[in-house]
Amino acid sequence: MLEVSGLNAFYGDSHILHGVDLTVGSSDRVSILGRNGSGKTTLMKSILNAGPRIHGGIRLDGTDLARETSFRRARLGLSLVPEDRRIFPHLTVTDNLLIALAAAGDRAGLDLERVLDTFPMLGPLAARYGSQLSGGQQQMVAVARGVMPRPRCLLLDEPTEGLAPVIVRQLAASVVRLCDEFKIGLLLSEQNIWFARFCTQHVHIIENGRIVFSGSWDEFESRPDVKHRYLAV
Amino acid sequence: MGMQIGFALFNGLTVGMSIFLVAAGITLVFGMLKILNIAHGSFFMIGAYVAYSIIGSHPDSTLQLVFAAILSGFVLAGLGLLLNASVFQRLRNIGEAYSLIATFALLMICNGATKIIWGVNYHSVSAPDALAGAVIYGSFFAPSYSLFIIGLGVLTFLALEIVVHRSSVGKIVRAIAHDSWMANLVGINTSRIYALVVMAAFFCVGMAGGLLLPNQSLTPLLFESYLLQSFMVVIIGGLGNIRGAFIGAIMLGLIEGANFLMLPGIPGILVYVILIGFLLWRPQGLFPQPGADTADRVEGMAETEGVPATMPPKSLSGGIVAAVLVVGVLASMPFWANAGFLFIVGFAMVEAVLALSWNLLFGYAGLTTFGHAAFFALGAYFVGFLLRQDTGIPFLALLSGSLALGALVAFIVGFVAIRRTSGIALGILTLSLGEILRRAISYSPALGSDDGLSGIPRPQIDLGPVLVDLSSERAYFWFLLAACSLVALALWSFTVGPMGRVLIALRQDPVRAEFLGIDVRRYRLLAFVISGAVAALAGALQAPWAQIVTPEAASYLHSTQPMLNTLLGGSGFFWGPIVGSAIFSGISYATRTLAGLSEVVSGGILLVVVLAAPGGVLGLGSRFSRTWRIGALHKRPAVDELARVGKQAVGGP
Amino acid sequence: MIECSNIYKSYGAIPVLKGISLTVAERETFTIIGPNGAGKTTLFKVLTGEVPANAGVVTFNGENITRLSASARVHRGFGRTFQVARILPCNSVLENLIIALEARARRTERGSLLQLRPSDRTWDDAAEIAGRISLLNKVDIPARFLSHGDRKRLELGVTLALKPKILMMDEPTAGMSPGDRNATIDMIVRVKDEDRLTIMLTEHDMDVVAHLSDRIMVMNYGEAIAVGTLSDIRDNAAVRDIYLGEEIGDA
Repeated sequence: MLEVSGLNAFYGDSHILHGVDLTVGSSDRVSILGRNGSGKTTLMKSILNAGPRIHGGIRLDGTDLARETSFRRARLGLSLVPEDRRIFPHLTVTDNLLIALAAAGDRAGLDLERVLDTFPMLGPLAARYGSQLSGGQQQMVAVARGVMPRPRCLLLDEPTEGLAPVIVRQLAASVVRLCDEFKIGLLLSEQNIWFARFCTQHVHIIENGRIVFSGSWDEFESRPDVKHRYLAV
Repeated sequence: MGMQIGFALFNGLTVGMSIFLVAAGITLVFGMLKILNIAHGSFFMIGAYVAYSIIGSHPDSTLQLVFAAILSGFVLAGLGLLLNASVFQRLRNIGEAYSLIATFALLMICNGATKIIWGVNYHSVSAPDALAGAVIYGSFFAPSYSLFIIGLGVLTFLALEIVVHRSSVGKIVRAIAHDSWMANLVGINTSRIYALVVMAAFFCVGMAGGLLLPNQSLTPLLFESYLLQSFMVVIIGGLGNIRGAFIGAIMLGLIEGANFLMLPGIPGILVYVILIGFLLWRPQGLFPQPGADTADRVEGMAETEGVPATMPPKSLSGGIVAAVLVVGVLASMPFWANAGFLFIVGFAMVEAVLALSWNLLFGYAGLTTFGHAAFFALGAYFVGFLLRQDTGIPFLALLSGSLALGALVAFIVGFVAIRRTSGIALGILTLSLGEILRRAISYSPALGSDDGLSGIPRPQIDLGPVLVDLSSERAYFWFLLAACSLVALALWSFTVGPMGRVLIALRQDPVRAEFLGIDVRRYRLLAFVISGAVAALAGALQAPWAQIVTPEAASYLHSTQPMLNTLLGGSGFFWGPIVGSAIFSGISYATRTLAGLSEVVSGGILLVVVLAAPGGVLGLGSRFSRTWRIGALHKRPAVDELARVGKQAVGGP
Repeated sequence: MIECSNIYKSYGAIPVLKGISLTVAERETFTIIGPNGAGKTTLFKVLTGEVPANAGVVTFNGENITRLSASARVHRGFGRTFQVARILPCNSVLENLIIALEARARRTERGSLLQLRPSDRTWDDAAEIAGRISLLNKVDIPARFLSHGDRKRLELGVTLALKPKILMMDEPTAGMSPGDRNATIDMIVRVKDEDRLTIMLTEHDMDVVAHLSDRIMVMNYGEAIAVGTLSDIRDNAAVRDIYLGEEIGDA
């Protein structure tokens, strides 16, 4: 479904990603693990053409996206939830979700009620403004906004950053349920291994802008050296 | 008395609503693009001229007036669409100071084009019969046209308020205003919305131009009457906020009314005083918008900018040869140049010194001010006034006095302003101070009011054994050349010395400078004081050259001259302002025959420089020479790293 | 050496620091760790004078410095490096160091106004520091063209040029490759020894924390959860839960 091939990304003079190859199959769920500064966020932004200067191939369901702008990529079915969430502070929770639906053009999106149901925490907050939410609530809204247009692939960038453990568990449950129920693919960048394992089937490890390991979680477990070398705390 | 107060306030309200009709567009564009469009007053003027071309001097009916206004709105919307694609979108990625200056270039182009298309003559348009009368209610008397304007203002406000705050389009617009990056990522075609908003803003201003046509003197100076006041309105209200602009407009109108009652001798001064107090109290305005607080943005430098050299070059010989050559050619001019050209060159030298002093703030200390001409006028009036009085004070003492006066005033202004404001607020604050000075002068009979001081005698300098008589044009020109060269040399030594290095550090990164133990505020104030002193000296030198000083010396149009010169020459080079002054003077000399042409050409060049070569003329030159140098370096393996780096810098293969 | 008590700080309505107290002894390396958003950087900003605290007292060598500006604290011996290195991008490596050296010299001696070029001693000192931070071969390159690791090294060099007593480092190895990271650890250990420094740092990388720290403070949601040596911290149940144990999460 989503195929990234030979992706190079630059910020000004610095070369951040070096020939990254990555595939997310239809309804697949894939993690990218890596330390701070390893290039996870740059990769996510590059796929949406939202920041870095990029060279390389990006295809979604066979369509070449290389020349498309960010908003076209969004309308074609890629949805990025950035690490800093970026809720629209002056809109209510409901409007935050509806604006994503309205902006998605021809995509038949999801039903507002059903999405809100998936996040038990959000129900009572529907009329609140984005600026009145806590970090965890904002993250829930950001994910909900991300799935509203029913994307082909949801890109979640470090969603657990700064969240309390109990919220992390709720979020994991919601993400898995949404992806299963609506057949949404997932590309997740994380540092929290527990969350990544709970949400995904495959794992890639990125280090200095290069993919240094790819495999299933079982394969990952069988390679403690990889874990130690690239992720150890 | 009660009648009079009521009438003044009603008039004030009419003024306020007319201003709002213009200010709405400024605030819309700023809210979306974060560009403070200085040219907006000129677009208003173009709107008025377009409507005038349609209806002529005597509109038959109110309907015809409205129809012409709407048509003018469409014309301007088309212009807006064009400018959005060609200029505004490019300004979003460059530094704030540059985008302000680019819109100023637009202002010059518009004003010049207006003069070329419609001429410089005065036109007046009468109100249609239906609006020419007055409504009388008991002892209250209101001109119908004023009521018409107030009604329109309120209507426009309500329409914008509903669209922006209540409609779904408004939600999208505000989402982009808050976070265009994220808005794009959820699938909003942000560039299309930008274009729509710019078109809407231009439509409003074009329509306002038409509707406000009656009772207005239509001249190429029309832009000015609305420009500064609409800025005040949007700044008081909080940039980018429609409600704020509406409240700001009402406040401004009432202040104007109060001014009329309390200080009838100096119209329009109260509003500046209140604006300054307001800026110091609440620099972000009544309703600050997220993202509108530009103080942080100015702190950092745009990628494209460079900084001037921080040290003297290892070998001075090349520089000395160049300097001797330039000074030599200038010194020989009285022998071969005609009087008119010599006069312009003298002006250019003074303007170059003024620009050098402005760039000490902009290129070195990282402060953008819009009121530099105030210091110039201070020095010019100080020397002009005392020379005319024939006090017998030696001329060199007068010059030193102007330096001290400039330094003192700069210290007082800088002490307060630098502590409280930065970014746009500092720019508008300095602009207001300049405007207050200009108005104060033009209403002081002792300083010649609007006519200024004329017939300023050229002095003699008594050096003990020798008496140097500067009364001839030639003698004063040489003195001017010597003085300007000396000032330039002194400033240059200052900037390549340890103090220059301090300023360049805090220009690039004030936080790092603070953590080098540099008291950022203190050094900014130092730069402000030196800059003010030198600007006053430039004014003092010019007064005997021109032999006349007018309040225009303090006007904001004059304040922008050093900015244009600096930007054109290259703010990242000490000598940039001088190169820019030379080029600008050349342009205005070459185009002096056709009114408006010089503005169009100067503005056009400036716009191209800002958009395509933010390093200025010298920046372009050094880019080419660097490409050449890197090529030569390639042959030496030891500098591989530098070569690689250089290649990226110039974007070559 | 540095001490703070009951520091409170909020940005708008959001409390970021909720009563932090700590003491760092002379020549100690004191590390603050905690999840993103725990308030580490804000605490640093309060200690260095970049932002004022809403309440609380900071003392340095017995002097109350709570109300002093950042530059005044630098005069008393603070050196500060940032998560994203703050250097002067348009100046060369050597110019960066010279500007720092001159900034320090200005406090102790009045240079002649006619001396435009830096003194010979300043040039020599700058070259010496460039050697210490292994940038001697890049002295003429404008800082904006340096790699990420080199920028962080240059920032350390610029800070050392101020001859600080205490070095405050916000994530000194953030975004570095393992090789760069090890080199940085070695360099910090070396300069601490050579310049007899006290060091405070925040860090994500537990390798770096383990190598450098004498004592560690763990923060979460603006509060100090625990203070102690590495093994104290590892044994602390609360810490395991919020930080090191995140991976065990639901197990």
